[in-house]
Amino acid sequence: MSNYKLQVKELNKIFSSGVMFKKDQFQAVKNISFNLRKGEILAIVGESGSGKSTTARMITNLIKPTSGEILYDGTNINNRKFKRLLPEKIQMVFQDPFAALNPNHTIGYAIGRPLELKKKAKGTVRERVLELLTQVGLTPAEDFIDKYPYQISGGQKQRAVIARVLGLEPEVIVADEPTSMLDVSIGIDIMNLMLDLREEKKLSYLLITHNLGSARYMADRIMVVFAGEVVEIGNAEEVINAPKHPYTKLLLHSSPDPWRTEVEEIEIVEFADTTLPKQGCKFQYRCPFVTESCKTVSIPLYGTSNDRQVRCNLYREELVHEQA
Amino acid sequence: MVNLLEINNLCIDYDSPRGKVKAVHNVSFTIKKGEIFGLVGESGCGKSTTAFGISRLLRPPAQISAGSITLNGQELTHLSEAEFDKLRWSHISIVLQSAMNNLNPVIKIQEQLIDAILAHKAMSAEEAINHAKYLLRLVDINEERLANFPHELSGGMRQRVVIAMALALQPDLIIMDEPTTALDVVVQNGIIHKILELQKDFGFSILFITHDLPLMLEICDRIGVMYAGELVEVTKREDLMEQARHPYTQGLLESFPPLKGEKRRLKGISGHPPDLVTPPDGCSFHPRCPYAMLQCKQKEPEKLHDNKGIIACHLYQEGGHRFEQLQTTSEGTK
Amino acid sequence: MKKLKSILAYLWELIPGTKGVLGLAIIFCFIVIAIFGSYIAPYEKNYIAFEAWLSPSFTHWLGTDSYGQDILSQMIYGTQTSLLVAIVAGSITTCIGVLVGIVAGYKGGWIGEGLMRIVDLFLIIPTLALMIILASFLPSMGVTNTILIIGLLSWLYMARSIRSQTMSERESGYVEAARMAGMGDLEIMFREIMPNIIPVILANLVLVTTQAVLAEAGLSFLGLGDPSAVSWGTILSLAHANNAVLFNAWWWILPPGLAIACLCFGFILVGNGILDRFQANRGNAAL
Repeated sequence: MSNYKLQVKELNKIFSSGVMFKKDQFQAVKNISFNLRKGEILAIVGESGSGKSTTARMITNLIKPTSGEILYDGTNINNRKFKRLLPEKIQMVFQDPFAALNPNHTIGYAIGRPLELKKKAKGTVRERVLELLTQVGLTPAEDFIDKYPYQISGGQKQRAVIARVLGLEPEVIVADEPTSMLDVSIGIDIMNLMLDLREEKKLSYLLITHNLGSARYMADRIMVVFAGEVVEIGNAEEVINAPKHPYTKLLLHSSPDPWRTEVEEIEIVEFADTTLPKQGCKFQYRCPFVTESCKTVSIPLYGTSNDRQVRCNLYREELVHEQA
Repeated sequence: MVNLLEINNLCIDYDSPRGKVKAVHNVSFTIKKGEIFGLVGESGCGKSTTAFGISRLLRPPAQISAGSITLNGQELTHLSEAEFDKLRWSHISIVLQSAMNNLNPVIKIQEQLIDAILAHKAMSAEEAINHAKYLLRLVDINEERLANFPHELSGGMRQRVVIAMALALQPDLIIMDEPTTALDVVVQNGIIHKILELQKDFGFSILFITHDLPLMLEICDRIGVMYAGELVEVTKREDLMEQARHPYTQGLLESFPPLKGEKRRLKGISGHPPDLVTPPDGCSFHPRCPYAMLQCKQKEPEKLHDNKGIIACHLYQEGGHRFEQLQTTSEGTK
Repeated sequence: MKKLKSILAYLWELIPGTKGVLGLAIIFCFIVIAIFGSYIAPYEKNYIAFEAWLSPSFTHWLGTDSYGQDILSQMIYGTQTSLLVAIVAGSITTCIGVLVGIVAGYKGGWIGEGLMRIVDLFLIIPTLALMIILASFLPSMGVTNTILIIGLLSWLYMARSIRSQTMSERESGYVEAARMAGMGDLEIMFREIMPNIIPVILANLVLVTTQAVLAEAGLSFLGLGDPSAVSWGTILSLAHANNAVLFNAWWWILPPGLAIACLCFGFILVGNGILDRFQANRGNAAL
């Protein structure tokens, strides 16, 4: 038995659109592989359209991958038997707490109904819901249980969403930008709550975010994705303090940081052209270090899967040697 | 430096079914010529309402109920719509967060730019086209893009076009309300640098509004912090980076996970913003304030003007004797 | 009891403004007339012993027709049939429309596409023509048959509108959250999505009810209704058959025409009121 809660292998997702004969295809996720350890927080960082949300949706089985495998404790999540168990194993916290709660149901119903379905409550459902509400800091719980979503604030909604998720006692929680719709001071509360719950319940999180600061605050490891591909993965502090891939550097350089001391001048390549190259490195049009070989041959992730991996020729020597 | 914009005791109210909402309450600040002034705060704090009040974009039932706004010494609140329209674009222009989505999707960029130019300045069609090309060059967009429709441009490029339009008549003041919030950081960074560059070249003033305090600290000369419709602190950037004075500002700084320094737990701000129909007595921040004292609940703090700016907090009211204490408790907030 | 009260309060919430209240008042009047018809009507149903072609007077407020029937009495009895057809046929239409619409919208894929192609197929055939053909082929035309024909043929547009609404709801976070919570399709469709589109359903219900009133009148006017039952449509049909226009017998033509218009107007007012409120609610939610 490995200590991986979740293993993702060669995940691909191709979206097709258009009418019958003329189909446009768009590869949202390309060969993404990673592992999520027990009790670990892995942040997937990328810009909009990088495929990070698509990956999250495939892991929670909201959409089907075009190819690839997702294993939970070694079992494929698309396995027929496992599918019914999935809600009790992997849960999701959505970006928009305003939409994630049905406006027609009370908070108590929203949290209690999944408990009923999965027979998770030991005493009465109401007691368990009150317990869950207290756990996520919606106190006094009695005040919240009969409220409708429109009667509570955005931060409280997100807490209610987390309470619903916790009720199903999952071991992995996929959080898709859980704080981006909230005010910053409320957002940090939610992040702290998630961190506390991880300690308490030994949860593993897959955190999807575009904010490197929150990724560093929450995560043990960070995985940077660009155009559907993993470009860099490694220990959070290492990735933030010593980024290797030019794209990670660009992201860091672009993130507002008034206390920045050393000005690492990375040449910002303006990208009027948002099309992606057909072959070679996806980042070649914007990369200041681009070489001829980057333009033709696609680049693998260099490095060992448990440490640092970078998809860039600059690190071929360095990381391949380590590997050996 | 000369004051370009002076705002004194501005109040903006609107009636809601539950009662009068004081969206902006007694706000006063000045913007000097060539200065970048930032207004920061969380949603509903009144920062955008202030901007809308200055640029006459308030929609009923919201209205300016008191106070004065002067631009270059000219009082704006008394102007008729027609008189204000003459100032629009040539003296004040505004860039909104949603502006990039408000370009007309069925009209080419060129026509939209030229229409905007010709509406406010008399020039020949040819001159207008040349001016439009010049404007696009300013924001680093290839002039061939004039022939494109808005949907053929990326979000970042559309926002650049909007900034170019705002620059068209070289206004003295550009109000930017969350101009880059909807964009990715890399694109945001490019646009911010372009704005700073243009500001240096043309010397206009900017009222920059965002909730992103770190971004604001990177670009603004002075920063005003708003909470629940009131301006609670105005400080120079350097002073704020060294030590935020108002507990709310401190809390706000504590809410952005930093990219540097030792990893430690951030406190954020407990509780949530007050209801503006029934704001709490005394200081509106006291229910969330870690330093709240008895008088905070009873008396609204006065706006204290000192060498560092403006501060509205009881901790600083009596010669600031609690300041030292505050500094020691919040050590390491940076 | 408390639950019932909250449901009633909710329904009341849905029907706002002067428009809606006025519409409700109109419909309520007709319902009262239909229920207490036999007590209100001055004369018995189908009593034909009066003098023919009498113009309105104190004894016959709306005059008599060529058969010597009191038109006011006939109108009052006709309200029953017209309302019955409107409400029952409207309900049948709504049930089918909601079912097909929600299933097609939520399931999408082959099921959704298939259902919609069937709808398209039926939409190509003019519904009234189909009703006429069916009505003339069916051996005996009772009120039940009229109701069934109208009810089974009018749900097409409704299904389309419910489908598109469901499709936009399907993208909402709460539907994905429900799937993540392990709820079944049926529960998601009818307990999660349906309450959110109730305003649209109600607005559609109003529309199809109006159409049912008109369709019943149309079928009766063409002589395809139940010959023994009185309805506004049959009154009009008889007036037409007996050349009421030639005799300047406006009292025979105007009342049924106005009653149909009035009832439809009532339904439309209620529908508009509901839509206004729905839009206002959505707008506020976005703030």
